Amino acid sequence: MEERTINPYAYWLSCVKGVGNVTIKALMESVSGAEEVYNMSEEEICMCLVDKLRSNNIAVSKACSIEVAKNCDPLEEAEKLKEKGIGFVCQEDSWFPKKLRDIPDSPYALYYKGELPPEDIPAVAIIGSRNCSGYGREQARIFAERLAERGIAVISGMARGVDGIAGKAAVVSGGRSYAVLGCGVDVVYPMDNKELYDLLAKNGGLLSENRPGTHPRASLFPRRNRLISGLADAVLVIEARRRSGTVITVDAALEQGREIFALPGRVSDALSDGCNVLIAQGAGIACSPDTIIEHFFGVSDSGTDLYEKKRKQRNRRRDELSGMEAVLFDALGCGDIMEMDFLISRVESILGKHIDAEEFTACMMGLQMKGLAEEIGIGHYRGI
Amino acid sequence: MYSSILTGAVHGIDSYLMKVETDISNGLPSFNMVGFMSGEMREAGERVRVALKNLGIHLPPQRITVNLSPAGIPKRGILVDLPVCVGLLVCLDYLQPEATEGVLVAGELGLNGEIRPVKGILPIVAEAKNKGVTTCLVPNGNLSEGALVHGIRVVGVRTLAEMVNYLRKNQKERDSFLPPAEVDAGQLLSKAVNKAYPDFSTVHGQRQAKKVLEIAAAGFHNVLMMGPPGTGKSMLARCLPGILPPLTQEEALEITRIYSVSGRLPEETALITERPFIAPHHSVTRAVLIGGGNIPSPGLITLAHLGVLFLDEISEYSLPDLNSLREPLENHEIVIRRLFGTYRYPARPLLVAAANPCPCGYYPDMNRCTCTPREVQKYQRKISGPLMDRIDFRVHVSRVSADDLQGSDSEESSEIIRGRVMEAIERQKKRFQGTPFNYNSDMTPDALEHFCPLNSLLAEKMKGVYERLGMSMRSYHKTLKMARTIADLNGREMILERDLMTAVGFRLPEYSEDEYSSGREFEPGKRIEHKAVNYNVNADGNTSAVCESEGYYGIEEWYESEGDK
Repeated sequence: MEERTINPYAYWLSCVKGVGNVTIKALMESVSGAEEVYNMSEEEICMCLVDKLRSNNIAVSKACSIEVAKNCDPLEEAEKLKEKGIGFVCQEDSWFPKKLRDIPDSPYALYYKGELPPEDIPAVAIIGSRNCSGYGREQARIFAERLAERGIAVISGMARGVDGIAGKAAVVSGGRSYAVLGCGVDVVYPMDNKELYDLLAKNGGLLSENRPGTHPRASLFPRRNRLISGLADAVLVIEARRRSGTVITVDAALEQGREIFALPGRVSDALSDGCNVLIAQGAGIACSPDTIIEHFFGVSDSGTDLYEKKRKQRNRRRDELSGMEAVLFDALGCGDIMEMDFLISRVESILGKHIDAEEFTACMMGLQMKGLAEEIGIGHYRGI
Repeated sequence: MYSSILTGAVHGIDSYLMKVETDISNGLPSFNMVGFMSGEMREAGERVRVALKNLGIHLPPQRITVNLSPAGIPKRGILVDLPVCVGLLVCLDYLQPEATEGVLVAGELGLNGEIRPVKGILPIVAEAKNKGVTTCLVPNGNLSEGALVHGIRVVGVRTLAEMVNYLRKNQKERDSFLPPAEVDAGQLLSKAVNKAYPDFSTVHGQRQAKKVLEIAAAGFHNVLMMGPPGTGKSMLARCLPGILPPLTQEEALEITRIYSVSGRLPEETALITERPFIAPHHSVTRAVLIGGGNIPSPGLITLAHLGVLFLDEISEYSLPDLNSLREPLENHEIVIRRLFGTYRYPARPLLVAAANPCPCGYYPDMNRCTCTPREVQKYQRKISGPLMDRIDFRVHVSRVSADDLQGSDSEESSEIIRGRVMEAIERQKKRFQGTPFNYNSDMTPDALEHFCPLNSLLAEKMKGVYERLGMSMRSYHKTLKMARTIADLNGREMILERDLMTAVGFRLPEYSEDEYSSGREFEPGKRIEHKAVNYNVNADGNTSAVCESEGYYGIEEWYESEGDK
């Protein structure tokens, strides 16, 4: 593999204040590389930009900005970046992700921590609501785990909710996961995902088109969404409201010609609305991770249905339970969050006798210890 | 023309004897009071002058100096009117110096010569007895509390004239003129009826919460109640003092002392016979909460000593306020240091905290909760952060179903529950004989091994729980203490599995259950070790993380508006 060194002049150019993707693209039409820009005079730069930007005044001011930026030494700055452990890749480099070269509004440069997504393995973006339901949580995890086990890279935005869960599940199950950030790659946002951030830096990569140190800004997030879908071969929507940030990603994915999969949900759930609408519009229906695995590899090797297997497994475990635990287990069901008092009255009506608060708690704890239930917030339980 | 009169002042909840020295000498007419006193104390001079005038005694146009000794302790409060007055009367030869020998005088004077009650009579009289004083002249309004101290003559006086007449009598005639009072604390306690607190039988449903409060009462464990608004958290807390065991004589005296010092003892009341219930509003200042002031006075946490301190809407309290509660809750006393001394107040309340699970109150019911995950997390972190290690139990208080509300099922009365609690406390008393502990919640980790033995099967089980739930050492110890109390309540010396599991189920979890808890439950074997992120909580409750990269908070809401809507 060729050595991936930072192109100092490209780095310098992408760091110039006030100069963004559009200006750089315009410049690159007439020059061969960033180094040439560095050696050009202000007038020459201006000549390159004239008629390519919105107005010539803008061209002049951009040229001026570039001229001012020449005060700093690109080589020295590149060295500093390297010391920080941040990688830099630009369109001039041969290892720039191919998938991103072709997308509309392709970024000129990317910063990354960890590694760039390998070109030869398929990648799926798992996206969805930040404020997801228990169902979304569980499915994001199951899909990401399955895909990661089959060697498919999981791309996400490292946001709260679906993104973070998918990213984490992929890494935890031994796969690779990549996150595109809406801030600088050295900035952890949201802070809750610090742990995931560290994991991704080790077992995958963190990417951003923003220069290091950029604070997260609302306007940056919709733009980074196009990179999430751009890096992926297919986009899987776990849960989304009808109008949400996820929709932005899906729009970008369609524009880029990526395959869309949506996880079906109940029609009454606001959180599944977006997915159901996508399905109605012709998105692939992600009935199980195998749907996506089949899309990539033609066949899926798991044989039996994953959910069927889970149900069977659940029934087997149900048979191992006895007495009140079994009753409670049935009352709890699977997936939905139940309130404690509701559960007590249910169990009582089944058993036809009064149960003690203590007895209930001990029994509930027993189920939790067996891994059949979990407590969500105080006094609320969910069957697994 | 010099006189010295004995009086007392309060320091913390203890008291010290003070001498009021009065001197009248020639010079320009003046009335000087010295001895490191506050403004309101200094006003005694004016009141004394007018009260004496109204008695028909005019102060001579001479130089009058009053000194309070020891002069090194800062003093405040209205205590010295009466002693200054007596001192002057001695100096003016209206009273013989011998008449005031061995007599302690304390009280506030009205301009008409009326003697009004003051703060802190109980500790002052108690101290006087220790120092060998024979007679205490106290305002009639404070007589009953002073009379709790036996072995000293405590006499209540109504007016200045009455007091002068008393002091003019010789020793033998005095008792027949104003007989000394004596009150028997034990008798008062045995006659006391708990009426002030609502009965648990008036609360319908909420079996879970009632059980947890019962366990908490039995081991003096602190509790957190969580639930949507309007489900009866406050009502439950209000019932709690009613199931705590009756006060012992020492406890009642200690509480009375505190109330006497802070001037909250109702007039004519000798003894506090019920456990206090203090429910401050969350806008309370820290000085009021834990005690404070230039010359400190006891805070609410001290007023709730041996009773219940109920913090409703605990997440609305400021973080520094909550943090200030940690030390007293751990040490059972609050130490306030000032330039001129250290003040100690006992503070052993049973803390009951109540909170909504999230700002809107409905988390984790996602169909109704309208909060963002960030809001929920911030809210819960605030509760679990500072007080987490002081709170043992938590319970969910849910909406009472219509059946329960209208149900004719008779609910258990506080009296029955109290019976069980007292039995459990009796067990603890027996167990902890000769140790510094009173209740199970007092146990230190090394004592746990001795008092909460687990058989090998249970130890194995507990190990599994510890690992599976990712408990901390502290949480582990707390769980054992709780299991101990549950076993005590059930009348068992050995802790059984059920007790242990109940304790685990009622413990306060240390992490807020976020999206990853489910990820962890799914495949426990695949859990990855991670290093903890240290959070810095600054004064306004914002959190920032200490790690090599910077972290940002608070942008979410912004993003929310742009990205999601």
